[in-house]
Amino acid sequence: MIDHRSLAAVTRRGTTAAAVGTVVVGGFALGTWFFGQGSASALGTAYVPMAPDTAALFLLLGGALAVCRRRPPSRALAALALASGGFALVAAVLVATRSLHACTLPWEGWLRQADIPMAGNPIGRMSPVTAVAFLLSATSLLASLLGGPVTPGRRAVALGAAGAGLAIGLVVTLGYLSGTPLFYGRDMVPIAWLTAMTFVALNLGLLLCHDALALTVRWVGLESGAAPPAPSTTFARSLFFILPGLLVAIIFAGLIYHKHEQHNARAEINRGLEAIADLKVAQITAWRTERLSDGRFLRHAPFVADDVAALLVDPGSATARDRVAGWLNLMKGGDRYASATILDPAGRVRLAIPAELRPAGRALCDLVAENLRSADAALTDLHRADAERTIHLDVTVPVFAPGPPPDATATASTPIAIIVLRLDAERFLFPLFKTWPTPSATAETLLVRRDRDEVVFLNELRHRRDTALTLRHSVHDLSLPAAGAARGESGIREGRDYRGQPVLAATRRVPESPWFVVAKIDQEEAYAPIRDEAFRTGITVGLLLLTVGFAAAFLWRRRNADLLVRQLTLERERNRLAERLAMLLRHANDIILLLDTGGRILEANERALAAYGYTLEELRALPPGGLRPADTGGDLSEHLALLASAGGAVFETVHRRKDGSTLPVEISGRPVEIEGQRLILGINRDITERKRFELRLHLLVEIIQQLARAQDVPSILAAVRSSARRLAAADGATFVLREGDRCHYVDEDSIAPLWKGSRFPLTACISGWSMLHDEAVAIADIGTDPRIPVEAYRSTFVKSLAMVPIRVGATSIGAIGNYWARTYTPTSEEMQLLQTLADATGIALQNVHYYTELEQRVRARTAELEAANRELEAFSYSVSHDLRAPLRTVDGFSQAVLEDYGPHLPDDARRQLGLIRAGAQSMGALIDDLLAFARLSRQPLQAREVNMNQLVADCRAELAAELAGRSVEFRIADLPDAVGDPALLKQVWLNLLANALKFSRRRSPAVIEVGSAQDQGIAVYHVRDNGTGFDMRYAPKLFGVFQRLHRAEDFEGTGVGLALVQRVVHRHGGRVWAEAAVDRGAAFYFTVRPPPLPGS
Amino acid sequence: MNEPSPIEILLVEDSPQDAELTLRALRNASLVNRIHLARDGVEALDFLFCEGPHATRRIEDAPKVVLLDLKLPRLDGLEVLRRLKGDPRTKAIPVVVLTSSREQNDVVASYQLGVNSYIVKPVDFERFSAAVRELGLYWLLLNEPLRTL
Repeated sequence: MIDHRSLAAVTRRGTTAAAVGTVVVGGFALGTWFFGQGSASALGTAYVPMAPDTAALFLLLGGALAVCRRRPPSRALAALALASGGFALVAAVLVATRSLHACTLPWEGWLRQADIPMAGNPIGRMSPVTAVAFLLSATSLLASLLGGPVTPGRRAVALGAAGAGLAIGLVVTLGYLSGTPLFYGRDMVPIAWLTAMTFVALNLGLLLCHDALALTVRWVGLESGAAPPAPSTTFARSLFFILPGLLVAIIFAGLIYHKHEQHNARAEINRGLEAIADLKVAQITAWRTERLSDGRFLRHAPFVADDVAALLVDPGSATARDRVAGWLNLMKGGDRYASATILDPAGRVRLAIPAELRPAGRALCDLVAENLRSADAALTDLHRADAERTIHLDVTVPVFAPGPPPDATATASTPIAIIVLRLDAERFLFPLFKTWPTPSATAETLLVRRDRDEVVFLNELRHRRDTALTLRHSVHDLSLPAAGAARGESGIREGRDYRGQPVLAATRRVPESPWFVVAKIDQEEAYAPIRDEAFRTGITVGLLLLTVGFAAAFLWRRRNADLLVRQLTLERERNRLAERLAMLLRHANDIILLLDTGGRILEANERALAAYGYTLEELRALPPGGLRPADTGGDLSEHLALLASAGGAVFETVHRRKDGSTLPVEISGRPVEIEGQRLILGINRDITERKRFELRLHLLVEIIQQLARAQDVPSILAAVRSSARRLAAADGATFVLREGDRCHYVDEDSIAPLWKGSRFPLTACISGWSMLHDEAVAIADIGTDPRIPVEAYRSTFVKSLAMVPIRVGATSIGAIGNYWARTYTPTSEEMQLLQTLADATGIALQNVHYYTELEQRVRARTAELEAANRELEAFSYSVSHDLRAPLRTVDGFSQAVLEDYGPHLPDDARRQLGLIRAGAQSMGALIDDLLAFARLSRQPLQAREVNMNQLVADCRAELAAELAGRSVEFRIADLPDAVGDPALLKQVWLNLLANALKFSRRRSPAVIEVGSAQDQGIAVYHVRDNGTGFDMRYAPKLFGVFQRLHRAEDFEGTGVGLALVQRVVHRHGGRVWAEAAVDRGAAFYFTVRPPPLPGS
Repeated sequence: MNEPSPIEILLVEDSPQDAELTLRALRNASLVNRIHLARDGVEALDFLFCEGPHATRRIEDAPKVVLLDLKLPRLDGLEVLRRLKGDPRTKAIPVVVLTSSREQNDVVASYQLGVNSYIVKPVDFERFSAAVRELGLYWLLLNEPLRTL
């Protein structure tokens, strides 16, 4: 991906490079002209150099580009650049339209030495194509230099112009690269290669200067940070890369093909022309040979010399004359020769056929003189015979004196006569030239001869009259093919003919003659096939380009069409959605508002307008918080802050309508972002109904609570009376109870008296109907309902009513009625509320019934219990007090007897009195223990934190008396605190320790271990001794009252101690158990809190 | 009834056996000289407030200690105690509850009414004797009674 910065750098550097390059090239080209080396900028001898004015314009435009490169340019520089561009534009227009006004530009020629053609083209003159390119470049430059902001339109013009200029430069450069300069011919000066390349650079710079790179990158989607390219962009990108390449390739291929075809065509044309030239030469040569052979025949025929000699000897001899005339006529052959003449060496005509007695012309005399030196027949050059218009050619035959044939040495001998056979060239030679093997408009064959420094055109020309022998041109005219031929060049070449027309010519020398043949044809005609071919190629390439372009455009369009269709579909979908959404908004039952973050309303749905009574414009004009009453509306800014921070919130507030009334609303607000703008969407629900329902529900809950608390019928009546009306906003309410087959209107709460205290038969009133049918009933108009006894209502305000049955179980025991003074249909919600009230009332009535019954039972039971308790107390008291008194008497008086009469009693009597006392005392102990045990059950627990260590220490101290004379080892561990009654727990420890001491009495030392362990967080205390222990089989009996596992003789005790321990532990929610074995000691464990249930 | 000397101990006891045992115990402790026995609460109050048969007695000649059983016919011991301690003339007289009842209620009520000591009569006569001896010694010999002048 390409980031902005690198793009800017590339653009800046590229523009600078283009500007500098253009200026440098312009300066260089101008310099070459200035120093007379104009063609140095041609980049090849076959090509034209850059024109000086082109170079000057490049200098100007390059400079202007350099100025326009940095934005904004300084004012002066901009003005300068603007001027340069304007000047270039004007100049370009002038050059481009030169063919129309034909005026030369004033500066043309200032630097140019001469209008030297190169390869047939004038150089140093600006090509119209160049001018057009300048026009485009200058336009592009001006579009950005003109004052004011660069609008997209202007930028498009600038980019388009620069692009077109670039295209021209590229195409021409490509043409040059493929060896085919383009855009020239006739009056068109070709555009120089260097010029084309400079245009490429200049226009690239212009494009860069107009941010083409950035635009392209953006368009193609290569921009960094851009969203992933859409399919269309990918397509555009590939098209962007492929299309120009394809177009250039097609052009290039076209050019190469054209070049190839041109080469072939040229070769063929050249071959044809040369063949024609060769043909002509052959024809001429053959003709000449024929003529010479005629001469040679005469020269060597023996009778000729004889006859001529005879004629010369006797000019008047008719015989001789006839003889000569005979073969001479034969030779002349009618028209074959125009005339046949026999001259004597002095040039006198001795015989002429046709008879011509005129003296031989001067030319003929020269001929004779020349032929006298020759020993053989010869052909003269073409000449115009004296006084004749026609052009002739003579065959001269020297006639030597008869005799032995002259040998080689006899050259010095002089001919006795010369036979001149004259040919009419126009009749016999020129026709050869006039014909052309193929029909052609311009082709012709020339016969020329060199005459010193001139070339003489011998034959009549096709394009000009009377030129034979008269038309002469300098033999040094390089462009003239005939001159070249005269110089002896043989071959094919281009040039300009005598008319100055560009022609293609083949030149040949005619062997054994001073003649040269030039077969030429106008280039225009000769190259017509090439032009046609080029045209066809051009058309083909153009068509191909068009096809590709159309294909691309078609693809593009189809793509776009697809996209458009998709977009259209999307758009439709979006519209439909929007419509639905609008419908939703419009018909939403909630108020929907769109607010800015300051709390100002931007949009509102129709429900909002209806709810608030404002128009949309009025809503928009409200200040923030304008919907909220000043006192009860709450703090808007606080709510807004909450919305912003929490990303949405739901809260209740109060809004004010336009008329000043208020409505409670529940606002569900959330921040939204629409097109980058942070807004708040508020959905407000008018909760008036809900509030009212909530109030009624609240009321209902209150009543139900009251009913639940009610313990008698009057409080139920009070609760129902206070609320029944309010639940459904009725004008009156009645409470009806069923009494057998009658309805008793027990109570009422009404704006006017109804039927309180009255009783009606069940079948004669609506409450009865409701009870009988166990069904709620709502009657909007009592006048139309047959169930209503109209008479009973005549005196009342009632117009509408609702009646709900009060059910207890499956039967209706009453009803609650609501009455309205207006015609009103209670809502189902109100009916439900009333029914709920009735149901609750039913339950309350039932509860009261149960409660009363229960209370009675409880009272009776309590009385029983109290009595039993009292009896028990009295019993305890009696036991404690009255049961011991006799024992004391028994013991006391036994003692008294012993004291008073002891000495008089026999020993056995004293022992028996002792037994009586022991029994009495034992019974006293039993009674004490039993009383203590009984007391434990009644005594309330005084629970608090108890230090078990302290308790154990206290017990040890109390038991100190027991230790006298014994060896007892206490192992007391640190015990955790417990929560319980200290006195009772102490009793536990005391009993257990006493037991331990008692049963370890026979051990020495006795070891008593006190400790605790944790079992699932519960402290388990234990007392362990090493005493006699017991059989675990009897363990279940251990804690029973008066249960003993040992004989009294062995261990004294009442059997209450462990029962007491168990009782205390159980009262503390604990557990006590023992582990023992006979003679292996016993361990007693207890807890003072319940152990957790397994698994909990 | 002639009062040879001020009574030192008022024993309120309905049970003749208990009374005899108590007297025996006191006697054993050589404290038997001036003991008056009341057989119920009414008698006790009559004696203490010099009413009825005791009208001739001077209220100032209060006993040094009252040994009071709680379970009494006619008027129970607690009521006697209440009257005794409720009267400024008699409230200074030390009262020792001597009863068979180990009931906590009785103990608490007695102390709340201002009893000076609470002794449960043991069944074992020797222990009973010991207790009586100790309280007699304490209240008769060691304790200096408050005398109204």
